[in-house]
Amino acid sequence: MLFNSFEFILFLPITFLLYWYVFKRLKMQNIFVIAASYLFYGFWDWRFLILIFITTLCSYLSGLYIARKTNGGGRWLLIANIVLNIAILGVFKYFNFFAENLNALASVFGMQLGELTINIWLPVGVSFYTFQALGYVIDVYRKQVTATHDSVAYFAYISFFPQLVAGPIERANNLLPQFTQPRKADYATMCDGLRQMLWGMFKKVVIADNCANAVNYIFDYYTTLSGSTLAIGAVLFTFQIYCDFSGYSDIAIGTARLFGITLMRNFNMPYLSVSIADFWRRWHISLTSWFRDYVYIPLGGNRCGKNRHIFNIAVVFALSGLWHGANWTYVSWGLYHAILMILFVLAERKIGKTIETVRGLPNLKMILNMLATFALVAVGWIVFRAESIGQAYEYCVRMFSASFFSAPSAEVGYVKSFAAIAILMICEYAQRNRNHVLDIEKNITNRAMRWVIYYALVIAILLFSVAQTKFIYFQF
Amino acid sequence: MKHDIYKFIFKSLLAALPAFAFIIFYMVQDPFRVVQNYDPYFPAHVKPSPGWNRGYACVDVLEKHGKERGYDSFIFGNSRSIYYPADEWKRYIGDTAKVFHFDGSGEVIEAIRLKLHYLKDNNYKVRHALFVIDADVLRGKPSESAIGCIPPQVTGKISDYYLFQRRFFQLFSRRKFFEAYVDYLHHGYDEYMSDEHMFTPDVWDYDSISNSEVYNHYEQLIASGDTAYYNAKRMKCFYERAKTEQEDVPCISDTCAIILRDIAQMLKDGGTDYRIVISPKYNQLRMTNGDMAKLKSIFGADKVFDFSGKNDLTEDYHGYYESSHYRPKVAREVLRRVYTDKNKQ
Repeated sequence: MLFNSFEFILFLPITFLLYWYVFKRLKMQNIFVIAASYLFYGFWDWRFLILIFITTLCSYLSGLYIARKTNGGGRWLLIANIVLNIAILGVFKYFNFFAENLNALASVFGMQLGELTINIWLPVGVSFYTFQALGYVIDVYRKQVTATHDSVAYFAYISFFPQLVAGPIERANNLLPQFTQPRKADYATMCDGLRQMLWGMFKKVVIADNCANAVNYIFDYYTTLSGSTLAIGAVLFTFQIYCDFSGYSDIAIGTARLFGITLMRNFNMPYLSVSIADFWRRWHISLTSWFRDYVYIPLGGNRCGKNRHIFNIAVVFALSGLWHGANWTYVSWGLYHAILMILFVLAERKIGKTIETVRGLPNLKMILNMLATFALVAVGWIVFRAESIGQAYEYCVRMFSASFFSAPSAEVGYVKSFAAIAILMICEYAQRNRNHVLDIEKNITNRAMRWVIYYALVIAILLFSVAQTKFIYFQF
Repeated sequence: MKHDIYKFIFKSLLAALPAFAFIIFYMVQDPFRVVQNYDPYFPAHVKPSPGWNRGYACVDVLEKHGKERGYDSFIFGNSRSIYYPADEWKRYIGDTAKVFHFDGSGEVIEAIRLKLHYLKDNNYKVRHALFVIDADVLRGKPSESAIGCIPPQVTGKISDYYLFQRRFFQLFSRRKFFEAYVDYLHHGYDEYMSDEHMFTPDVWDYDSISNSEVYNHYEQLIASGDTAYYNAKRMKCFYERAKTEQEDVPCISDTCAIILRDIAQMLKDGGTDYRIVISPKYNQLRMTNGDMAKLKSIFGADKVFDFSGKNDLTEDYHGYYESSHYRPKVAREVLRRVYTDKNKQ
């Protein structure tokens, strides 16, 4: 079920009313959350429910067993759990990728391995809930989280529908306790959640989906278009993927708040970053922090020699790229960011003053830093969006040719998209110290003015919707 | 806490007012004729309008008047079957026949099978049937578009009623359609509105008894002079065809053959007198011998009539309104050959 579908428009109010009015006791509410979440997820394919059930059950039982072994005896179970979760990802997400590459490698040496690929569907959101379950088991092993005996709460924690298919990838110490304590319907919290949903929907429907039209056209016909048009394509995709994914996160966080649950922040205005390190503190925060805590720090982080530090950065970013999908473009995108980060580290630069600390308008140096960071990130997105590394290379060569300075193609409609992007950036800058852009109760005290903004957004969503489209991050 | 939830629900409803206004506007305007009740379903004279689901309209008419009018003879097929005049068919099957056009836009063989089941389940006696099909009908899979999807009354599934309504509402809420529709309400129809089949540009008369679309307006234009209808713009669609006859790609898959056998069984069980016509399409692609052999083995050689490929009916573009649909004069000739002069097919 998509957040921007008619099914969800029916599902959400029914679930909300039943949750608060019918299932008032904590246990019953949690059971209802599991049922609603499984229904929500089963809309794609009920068979995928088996997989999420197995993942949840295994991690729950592992957590209990590991917690009982006080003298480190749970290590093997932890390893088994990591292997199981990686095996699930490996089979469903990466098997064909590795098989194809193994075949290609074998053919270099004149060997034929035959047909190795399998016909298998990628379960929606598998990378998200697998990581969430894995994080819990590791946290229990490290004694950073107490293993829960409440199986219902644990199942609700893994399957909670707002964040099940595209995150944020929640940590047990934040989300799990919220399922073990009674929740309260608070008017202000729910209203704020609704506002965040509205803003998320605006980003998805008005900006991302409208950018998608031009982006698809430009990437499909990039061999015939000028460098300037390709640059526009890269910029539009940069905003498309941001609005698509952060829009989803906003809707997820807002929806969770309607149920009295607070999810972690997943995006913090990443295109206002002043450096690449700053960008990675603001983009897909839940995944970045997951890799930091469970891969980067165990590898030694930055508390080691320079070469080892560089190696750690490269590993984390390559894995982060691979996490996005079974394609060399994603791995290359990860490695591209690894290079940028390594250069940042080698230059011994610090993030320093960020946009939150600025009063009024930023100074010229900060603006230039923001533009440079944005340009570097945008080039990375070309690799991410391209169907192959070859296509990404050709795209970049054409983009940085002499036609970069020519007028962009008039065939591609992008004026409205840029107008919407301008609104987005102005609003984000103005609200840079808030939890989300529509957190406006304190800035705009005039109630009528606030309602004008709400209605303007609702009308824009109604009038600018292109068609019901999937969220990009569902494929990961 | 209860008070908080009430307040929140009230605020949510208030915020959703523009959405409610939009839904009410859709329901009042009902541009696709799927929300309100219409009888007769179409006005007598139809002007260019938003695309309707022809299959839905057919079943709606049947549900309202089928029993009272005693329909017993049905014309099945895609939009090419619309041009088969009911009165002309009655000349061959008998004046007492009660003819009903039971077609659909972009009809596929599965939809025809479901319609026959629908008739059987609703105790219609199908005395005569005419199937106007072609490779597109046999090859096609059920459409997911609002205009071309199988009507939910035929599938009988509750979920299909929901999906059907959802498809139309989604179409309405597309910016491109909505802008065109508002323009249409203010200034009437414009050519750009027929892009992506949002609007149908045709002008036709509706015969509510046989549920036929009659294209008198175009016939009058054609009669008034060659270029009145076949002007330079329309002529653009008549692309050049191959000099020698080309064979189409096979279109009867194993699944399609199963559907065809089910249809044949129902016709046999019902004692239906029927004919299957392979349309004379402008593309002049001849149905493969293999497909023809399959059709004849399932239905009988005397029931299947092939007009595809290069022949006198497909040669002259004057037999077509455009490169997809042939005119009633061609349909009349097809009927004559099917029922009286088999050797000339």
